[in-house]
Amino acid sequence: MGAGVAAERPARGRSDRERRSRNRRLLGGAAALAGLAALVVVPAAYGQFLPQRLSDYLIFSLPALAVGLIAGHARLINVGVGATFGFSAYTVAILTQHGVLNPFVLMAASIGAGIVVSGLFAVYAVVATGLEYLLLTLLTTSAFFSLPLLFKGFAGGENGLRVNGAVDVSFGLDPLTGNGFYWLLCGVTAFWCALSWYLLTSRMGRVMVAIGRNPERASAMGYSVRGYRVGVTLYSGAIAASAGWLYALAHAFVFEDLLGLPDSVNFVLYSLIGGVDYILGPLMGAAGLRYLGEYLGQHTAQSQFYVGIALLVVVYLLPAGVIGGVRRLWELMRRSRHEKADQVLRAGRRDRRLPAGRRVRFGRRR
Amino acid sequence: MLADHAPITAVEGAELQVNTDLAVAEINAAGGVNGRKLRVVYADPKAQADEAINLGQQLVQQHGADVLVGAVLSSECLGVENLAPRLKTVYLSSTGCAAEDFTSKQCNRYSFRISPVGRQGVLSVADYSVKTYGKRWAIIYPDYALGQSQLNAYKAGMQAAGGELTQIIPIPQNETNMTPYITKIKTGSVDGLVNAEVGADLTRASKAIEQFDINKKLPIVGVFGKERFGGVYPTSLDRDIGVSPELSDSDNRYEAAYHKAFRDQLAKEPASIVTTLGGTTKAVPGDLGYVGYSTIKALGTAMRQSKFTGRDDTDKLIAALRSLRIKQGPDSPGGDLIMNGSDHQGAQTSYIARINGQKEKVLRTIPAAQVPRIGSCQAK
Repeated sequence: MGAGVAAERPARGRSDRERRSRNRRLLGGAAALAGLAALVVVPAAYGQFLPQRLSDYLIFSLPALAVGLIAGHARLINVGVGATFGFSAYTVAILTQHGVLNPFVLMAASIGAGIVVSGLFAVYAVVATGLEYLLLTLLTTSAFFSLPLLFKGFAGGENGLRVNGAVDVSFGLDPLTGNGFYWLLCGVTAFWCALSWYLLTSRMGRVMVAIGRNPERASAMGYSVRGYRVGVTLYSGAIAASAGWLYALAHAFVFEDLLGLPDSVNFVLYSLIGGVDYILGPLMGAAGLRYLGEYLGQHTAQSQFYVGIALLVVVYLLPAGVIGGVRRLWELMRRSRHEKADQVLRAGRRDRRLPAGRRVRFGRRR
Repeated sequence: MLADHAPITAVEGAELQVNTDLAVAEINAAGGVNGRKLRVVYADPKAQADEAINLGQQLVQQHGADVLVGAVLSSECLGVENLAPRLKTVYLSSTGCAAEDFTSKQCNRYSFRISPVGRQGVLSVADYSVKTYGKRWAIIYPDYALGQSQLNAYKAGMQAAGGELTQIIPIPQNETNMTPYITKIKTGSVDGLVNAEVGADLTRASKAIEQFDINKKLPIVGVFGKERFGGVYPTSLDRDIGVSPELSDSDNRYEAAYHKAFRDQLAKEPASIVTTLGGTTKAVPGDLGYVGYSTIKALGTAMRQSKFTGRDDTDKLIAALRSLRIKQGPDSPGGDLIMNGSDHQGAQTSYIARINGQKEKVLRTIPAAQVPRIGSCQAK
């Protein structure tokens, strides 16, 4: 009898866990779809400006996502994503200056150029780790900042470079009027998020996370640490490059700051603040920090100071980022609810004087 | 109005704001434009081109701005210039925006610049310098884009006047030790020195020039405008020669009225702006402020001429700006103003002058009609 009970309980527990896990996935999927639907539909109903602001947030959230994948999952702190982003944007501008206006060619060339640049960072990921890797990406980005000045006639120098071709280069979608371009951005962002989520939940993604946490052990288990690092760097490079391509289309103008360290550091901040371990973290970090900067910039000349204070507070109080913090808060609330329910049940048992030996169990505390 | 208040553009941003406020107050006091008052919405791009583009878009699409003005750095104003046709909104650059490309290469139907820049001033001052002092010149310049374009402008200017730059000394940006560069200047083998440094580098270079008595041995050309020094020229700039559409101690009655109105307006501005410009007793508009003032006055004139009532009248406003002519008077106190209808680059009466203590002695007056054109861009 006793053996029979012992054999049944784990089976029921596993079934409960699977059901809860399935429910959570369904709930998460439904929430993601609802969020995407809201992102697509709601801003479009609020005139011209809101979709354009959100477009900007989406563009800057993609390089932040790229940083999140490299730093959060592969545990490589790369401050060179800005170089990939800027190089792709410059590729669009330079090509249009030379008469290349086919949007598909521009997209392919821009993303290709970004992947080539990220190939450089992939080499660093193979030959260096930790501080050495960080410094290599930092110095490379500083060098990239000088490229427009070095090739002034070609890249416009300090004055920046215009993207020719009007709406022809953006598939006929005008970034400044209508919602078409905004929806294109929503689509691209959703594509990268979905693909990243799929990859992270696949075996490949789990191996990458394992390599990030303990490369020696992963290597001992037979996984190619170098191969995975190169893979994640190139993949995140493609994401950052697509953002550069979209930036060039949206603003029709590129300038040297796009290649520099400030943007790169911002991407790191966006992902850290939003939550580097989550797909949506960098997106929320980018939108939140950019909005905060814009809002404070309208009310004070010292906006950077207040943004800095806000960052310090978030980093101190929410070390896992905003999404990590929200999740932790949720867990705490859930635990607190369970504890209260436990207390109520214990009190009820005392009141009803339950016979000794009876146990009332529920949830995960069985 | 895109008025930068970042540290590197603080003086330009402050002059832009004071002079815009002054010009708008004067236009509104005179009844506004076609019975409507002008209203300025300020935004600070913080010396970032992408911020300038975003804010320009925001001002038009969210705040309903009819015209965009400002953006100090070249990359900012070139970015906003590119935005203007996409928004189908008139854009006037104002203080700053020294890039010749604005009207020489990437001009467009919607963008205008009222005040002369780059070679428009350099060619005249180079011509004067060669004819007055001699053919062989040395130049010190900041070794980045702005300085390099100044170098090219002076090269072309000296060559056109029959002179040449025989000694070229690039100085890295933000160089704290100017001595190795300044002591390279061969005072015995050149007839003068062009000082194309800007900002804090200019202050350091000028002090080193004074320290080695180079300003006593050679005429120095390039630096002008006491608004860049808190309203007071440092002694190291004494006898320097420059070109400007505005003189801080001009005795013409329009300028005198403008300077008084500037000081009155400054007293109404926030303390941070007053401090940036050197305080109410020392601050002057200088050419940086005058560009801001004359740009808004020119816009007001064009709006009146075109009977502008809002963005629906943009085409009429463009036509009025293209053919803009303003004689010296309250709206253009420094001198005449002429807009070139093909590239949308303005020309203003300019003065080659020498700094003499705190005075500015006029050496030559260049009428607006004789200010050279730059490039051959056709604004369509």
